[in-house]
Amino acid sequence: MSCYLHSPVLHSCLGESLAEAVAAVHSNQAPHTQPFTLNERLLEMPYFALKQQRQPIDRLRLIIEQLSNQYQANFSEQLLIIASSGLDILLHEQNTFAKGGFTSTDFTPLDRIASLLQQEYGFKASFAINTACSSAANALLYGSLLLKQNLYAGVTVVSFEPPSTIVQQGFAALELTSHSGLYRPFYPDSDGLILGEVYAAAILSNEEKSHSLCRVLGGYSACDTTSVTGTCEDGSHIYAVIQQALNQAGCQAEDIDLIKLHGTATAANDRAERNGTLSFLQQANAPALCTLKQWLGHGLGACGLSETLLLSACLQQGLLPTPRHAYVTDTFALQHNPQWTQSDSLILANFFGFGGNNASLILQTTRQEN
Amino acid sequence: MHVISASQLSVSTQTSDKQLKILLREHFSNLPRRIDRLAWQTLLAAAPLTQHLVSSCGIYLATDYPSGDTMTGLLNSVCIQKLQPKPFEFVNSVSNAAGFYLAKQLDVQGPNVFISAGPQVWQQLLQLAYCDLQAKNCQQALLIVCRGNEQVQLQAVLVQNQHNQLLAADSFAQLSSGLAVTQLVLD
Repeated sequence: MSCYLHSPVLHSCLGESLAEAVAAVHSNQAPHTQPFTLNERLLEMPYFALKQQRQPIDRLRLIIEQLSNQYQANFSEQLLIIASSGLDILLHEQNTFAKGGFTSTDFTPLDRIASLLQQEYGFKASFAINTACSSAANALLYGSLLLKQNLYAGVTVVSFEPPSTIVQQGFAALELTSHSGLYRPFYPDSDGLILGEVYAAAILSNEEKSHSLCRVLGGYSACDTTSVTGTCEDGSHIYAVIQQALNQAGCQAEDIDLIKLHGTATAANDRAERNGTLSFLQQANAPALCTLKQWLGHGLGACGLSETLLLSACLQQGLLPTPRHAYVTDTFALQHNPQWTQSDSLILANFFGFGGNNASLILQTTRQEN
Repeated sequence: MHVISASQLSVSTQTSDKQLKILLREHFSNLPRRIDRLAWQTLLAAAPLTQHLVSSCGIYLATDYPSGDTMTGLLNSVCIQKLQPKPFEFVNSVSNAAGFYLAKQLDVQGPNVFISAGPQVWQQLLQLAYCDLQAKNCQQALLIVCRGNEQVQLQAVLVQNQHNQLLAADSFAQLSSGLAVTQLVLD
């Protein structure tokens, strides 16, 4: 399989466009932060949020309209995949607050958003996918595979995570969230992750477009049944997923120029990912490394697309995103040289999640002069 | 692709989780703990198909609604009572936990995808499974659709092979035509 990812739209804590996000990384601008208060403990916790709040469905309409207007996209022969672990969670929370409680008859169907957007914008078909933090990576992976089988003319992937109270409180209850506001993956004294609100959209197709960001060469996704909260810490499942992703893309470990690490900055996940990718660093020409959650926050089900868009756009401008906070990792030498001059570089992009959902994509980006 | 076996399960609101567990013990010697109703139901729908299952099997699960008991409990405790969520309830709510427990209980290694059950759900599950079978990511695919919120209907099929004859199928009836479907109704 090999298809092109193009027509990107990104709304994040770095601004309401992909260009703004790239400029923010370039100038080391801090993400917009809107703290939340932890239930029972009444502590203030950092959260990376969009500056302007909208209802998720309105924001989704906005990004699809931007995608349509900026790139003249024709959706009539396209599949729409909505990738999110939250979907209608914010709506349910708002109804719970308004009614003073929630009953099972208040649920909206999981397909509501995909079905609504399919009807409003004339997509050929649609569904929502939720495989936790690998949701959007799986949307890109299966979108590419469906294109390879010529089942659709194009696939529009829309990913989002709204600022959900339950998600904020849940990650904090699991003691996975940072108090300090310093997002430091693979740092020995890291105090956890910072969640991020994000909305992203892009189109996959078999034809290269002038606004193509990267190619999806292959990938693989599988379920590690070690634990519902995470993957095997010896990294064996991650390693196996990466090897299968390389096989599917028809390339070798030595071909990889850059690894986009999942890098949640939580102890168990970082340990598993470090162990699963260590063999790459022992190669003669070890690939460069980068993480993106310091910039966007952890976008959960959306991160597969939002991080792919931000990384590809940065690389096209010769910029390799570096950690926002200078620090020394326990194992990884995260790239501190902000210049990236390689074109047609091969990228291994990792996305791992709850429910044992591990996914790796092999991407290829091309440097654009302008 | 061709269908190896199929099962159908109907669960009313009167059926307790305990009853589901008793029925599951007829198929499995050990059952997972701290799982929610959606996971019990999907396990019970898949149980009759296990005799044909190989370990290289992908799981493709689609449901109309999230797991009602988990989400309702979370919304009320976190938003109204201002409590911190229970860790396992929270993890089950944000992941495709039912798919995880299914893979663990059936001891299968392969892709594990959870999608919303829209009007074209069977076609979409078949397409996803077909992609993985074609790519040799797995040898079999277990497809499960769960319809309904409180009163639920589950339909499951186990498929294999790489031919695309089934891709146009858009219903369980079409997929299971000619097969002896295992049926269980719990009132």
